[in-house]
Amino acid sequence: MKLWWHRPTGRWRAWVLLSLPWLGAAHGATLTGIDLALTVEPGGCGLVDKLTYQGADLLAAPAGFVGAGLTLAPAGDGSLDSLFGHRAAGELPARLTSVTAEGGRLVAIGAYTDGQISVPFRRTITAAPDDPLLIVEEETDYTALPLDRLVARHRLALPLVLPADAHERLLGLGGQTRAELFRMDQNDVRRTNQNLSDNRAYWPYWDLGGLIQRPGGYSLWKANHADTLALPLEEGQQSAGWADFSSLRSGLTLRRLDADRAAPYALTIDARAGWLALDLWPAAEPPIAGAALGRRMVRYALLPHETSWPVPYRCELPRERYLAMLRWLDEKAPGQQDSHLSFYAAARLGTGDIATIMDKERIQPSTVLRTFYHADAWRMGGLAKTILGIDVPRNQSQAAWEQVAQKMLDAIAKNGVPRH
Amino acid sequence: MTRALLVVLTLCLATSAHGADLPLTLDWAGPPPARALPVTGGLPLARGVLRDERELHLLAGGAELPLQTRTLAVWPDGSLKWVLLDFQTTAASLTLRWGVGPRALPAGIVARAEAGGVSLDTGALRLSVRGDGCGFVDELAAGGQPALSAGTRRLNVLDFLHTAAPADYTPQDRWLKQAQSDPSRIVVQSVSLEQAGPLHAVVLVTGVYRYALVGSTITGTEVRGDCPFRLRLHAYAGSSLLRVEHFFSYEGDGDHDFGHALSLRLPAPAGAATVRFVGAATAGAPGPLAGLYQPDAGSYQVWRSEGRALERLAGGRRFEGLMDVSGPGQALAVGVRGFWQQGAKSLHADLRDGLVCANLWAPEAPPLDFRRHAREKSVGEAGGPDVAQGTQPEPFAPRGDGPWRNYRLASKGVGKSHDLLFWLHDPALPESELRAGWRWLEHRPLLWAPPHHYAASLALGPYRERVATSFDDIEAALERPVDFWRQSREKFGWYGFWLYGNVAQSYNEYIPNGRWATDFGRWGWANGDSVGRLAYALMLQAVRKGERADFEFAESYLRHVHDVCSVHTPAWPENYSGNWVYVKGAAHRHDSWPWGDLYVGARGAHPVGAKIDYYLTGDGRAKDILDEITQLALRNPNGGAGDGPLGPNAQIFLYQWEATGDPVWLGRLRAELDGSELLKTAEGGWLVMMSAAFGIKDALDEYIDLTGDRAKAPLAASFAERCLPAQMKNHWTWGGYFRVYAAAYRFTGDAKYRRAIEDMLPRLREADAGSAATVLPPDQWPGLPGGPSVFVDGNIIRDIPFALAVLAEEGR
Repeated sequence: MKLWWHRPTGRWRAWVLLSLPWLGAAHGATLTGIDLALTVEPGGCGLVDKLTYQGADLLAAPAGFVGAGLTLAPAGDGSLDSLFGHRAAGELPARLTSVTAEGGRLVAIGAYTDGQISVPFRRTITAAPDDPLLIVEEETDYTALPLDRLVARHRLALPLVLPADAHERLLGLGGQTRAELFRMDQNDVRRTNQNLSDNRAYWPYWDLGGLIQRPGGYSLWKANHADTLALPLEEGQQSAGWADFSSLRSGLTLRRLDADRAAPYALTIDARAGWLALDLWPAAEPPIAGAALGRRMVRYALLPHETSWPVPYRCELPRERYLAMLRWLDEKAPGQQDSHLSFYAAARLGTGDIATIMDKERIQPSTVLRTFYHADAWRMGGLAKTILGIDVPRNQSQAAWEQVAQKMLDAIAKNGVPRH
Repeated sequence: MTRALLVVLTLCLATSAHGADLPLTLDWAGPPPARALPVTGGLPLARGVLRDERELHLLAGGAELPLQTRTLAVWPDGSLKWVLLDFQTTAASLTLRWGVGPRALPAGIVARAEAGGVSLDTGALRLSVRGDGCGFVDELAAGGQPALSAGTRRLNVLDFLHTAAPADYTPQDRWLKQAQSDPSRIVVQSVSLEQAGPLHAVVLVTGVYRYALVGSTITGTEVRGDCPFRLRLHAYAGSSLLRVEHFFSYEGDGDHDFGHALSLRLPAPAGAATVRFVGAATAGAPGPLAGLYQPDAGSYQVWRSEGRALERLAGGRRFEGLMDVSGPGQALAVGVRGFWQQGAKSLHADLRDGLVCANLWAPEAPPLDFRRHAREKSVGEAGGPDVAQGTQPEPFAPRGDGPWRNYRLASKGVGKSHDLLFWLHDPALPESELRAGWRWLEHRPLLWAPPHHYAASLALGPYRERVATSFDDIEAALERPVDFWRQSREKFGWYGFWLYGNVAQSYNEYIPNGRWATDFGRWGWANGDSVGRLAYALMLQAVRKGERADFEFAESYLRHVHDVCSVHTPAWPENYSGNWVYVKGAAHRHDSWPWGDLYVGARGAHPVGAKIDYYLTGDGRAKDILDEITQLALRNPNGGAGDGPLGPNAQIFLYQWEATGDPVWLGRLRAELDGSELLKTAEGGWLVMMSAAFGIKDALDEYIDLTGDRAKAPLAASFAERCLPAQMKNHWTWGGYFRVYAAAYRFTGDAKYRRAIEDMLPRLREADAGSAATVLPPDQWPGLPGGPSVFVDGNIIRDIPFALAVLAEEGR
């Protein structure tokens, strides 16, 4: 799916709902797309006040939530040291003056303002005609900022609807070659005690995670809490530019569409406080003059999704086929106490629970198979015989096993598994 | 017998009509420089070869070079064991000669200690450091130009931000909501001429950064707030290069005291008007304020400013070079070793106020965070929860009190060292020479004798050097994990101020999710512990092979372990309690963050890696590490958690004995060996392996070798009897005994110990064969989720070379 191909033509399913007037100046609006509805209130949080997908709320702004804001820093006084202050010089929350929706497109116009300073912006949200996808174009005129103020951070924050059970809060970040997936609360896993010095110990909380993309380099991080230090996950040159928050049943991916020219920017998830933010100017960067930013347009996509798998991190098998594969592996032979899954994969994966493997751990089917041929070539050979009808040498290289596994996945994708 | 023969043979082969010649190579990390640059390097000599360092001569192309020498270690008979050479050259091949009489001592640096301060004149550079001065260089002059004078400027700076609550700062933000600026005030405690010259002089400056607020939230100890620093200024005869070693340690409260800027500065040359950043390419930056900011290993930006905001001019990935600030009469070039690897760092030039800054923590960056990674016990390597069946991690101190109330001081005593270059030069100096100067700083010239020389000298014990086409499968099993780590450092970005040098130790293991276990806790960052005495192993590998890549990897690791993972405060809150203990020099155990584990012990700070580094480089920081561990052994023989008697104490006493020749250290070593019940009685795998791994058994062997005290040989043999393959081949500690067998064989000649090595080697081959580093080609490292884990054991890498020496002597 090429997200940025969609243009505002085609089978529009959008329509407009009038909402209560705000300050007598504007009306709220709801934009609908494939299985989704997005609401923006002029007196709301300044970005997205509500997003439902397949009837469930993904985003909902509580009272007082700031969905968009500029944090300012004072300009230097001419001295070297004054360029590197660590104090903010005010917050400019977004105020919408106009919200309209028409023809599959929602336009929100407003300004970042404290009543004295006013930085205008225009936001266009377009619903894709064929996919559950929203494309946002955001134009901000930073030149309106007075000379004695710098942009310390420009944040757009989405108000996440959090599952009450912390075990169901799942985070994801897109690196260069891999997705970093973790959960806010992993202490229910208790997989192998060797991870820890004490057999009653727990895995840590990961309340926060984030991505910072600078020109030429990025870093991913996560943190136990908002008041602990950040631990690095990986670094590289060009991240995939997405962050995701999911429950076990659904989630939302935010993805930069202009990532190659948008740096610096940051994506941050706080699964404790409940927000996913895109920082168009990250606070980790030195503050910048409005004139240097100029009048800037950025593009990003909101991608609601079923299941807990982020949109850019696809499962290698269709869900039903993967479920069938796991059930098949979990069947016990007559007279046996264990299945392939519970005996071998569970020992290596730490769990034999299908829902955990699929929805909580988000383990790829190839990883499940790899646990067999890495540990027990005979078992894997038997599975290959069943699926592919061929005899596979048991003492072959890891690379050769990878090819066999890929053939098995192709066959399962095409034909399913025996007796399912 | 065979060993002795080998030594004699080596000496005979090296002896020429002029005396004895030792061929040396000088690794410049590229082509040799166009102009002579200073070189410092250490070499071992076999026992009895030479007693007077003045008899050493150094030749390049037949011409003798002016040479300064310093004896770093002596054999028990007083002959030279390790000698440090200082000289200047452009050569890549040299000859060390002795046996032809004493050399003429060169003239060079004129040094004076005066009124609590020191002044130096190299002939090309004059500098003075005052006891009541700025804590860095108070006056600096070169080339007949006016002196750069510190005046009242702050030239040595470690500034903090102090907050009322840790929640005032969210990771990756820039500002602290309620922070108060807490600038440092320098208190110089001593200025001394550590090394007088004549070719290479070193000024040592010690002191503290003093604050109004830092550490003010710590109660129960007087040791709070003042952050100690040590500076060494290296000056070279006839040269205007000034190399600087800087080390600081933290005495603040991680929850309240955040770093803002760590900076060494000098006045800019008079009339300075041009700023350029000379790296692979050169970027200019018009003033009046200019800088280069490297936030992480991924990108840097060059900026300028009028003083209101930064204007970005250019950028790149990794800056490898110097900032050069030029005036009409002279220029000042500044650089930091490991600049991009240890971000966030920056270089600044203030042409308006005439200041040049090397920022070891960049003020452009978010605050330097000293907090702990979690606020719960039972998360990572910090013990179990109180409630066995609880479903939530338990906070250390939910109401701010209780037995673990000082968990927030986890980073108390963490330290960090840096190397910098400040270079006053003629503004017309070609850029190629500036680049050569950066290379000299970043990749120091390495002086190598042939690998066989180090082994044959026995100065590091009876190991076998790397010999091509000999034991290749075993050697590959030692090298592959290190190559795997080296590649993973780049792939996963093991860089940054707090992490560069450390390695993660467990991949796809326990939970094969295609991740290193740094995510989970205990088996995360190696620190100095879990993968064995890794700094020792890596340094030994570097010497065995004589390769720069191995040396630089080893050096970055051991620096990290002894800087960041170790505790440098004299008052550490034992188990995060209110009981303050002296464990200065001991290290945090492995965890998901270098200071994450409350366990602090000497075993993680095993000193032999630092000892080898010191003998090879003469670095002051390496010497400080050894002195710190010595004080730990003397003041707290327990070493933290009972680690001292396991080996670190004996090993540091061995070092002091050879470094000073003072028999009092031999007495302490004997007492340590005699007092070790583990040497006499350890049984059952873990205790035996621990005694071998943590150093007490190696110290026993080295004691026997050095003193010839054969009365202790039966103890070495009895120790080996307790871990023969019959008991241990299928025990998880199987890899811990190769050196034990080798020593028992040398001391007794009993072939069963040699067979024990042979019996155990298949275990190594088997483990290596299943390792991801072997199963997968390097371009597929580290491998996919569910795939193989990597096999790595630092103790094996360290010990196998000693076993190979035994096998090689038998022609196997």
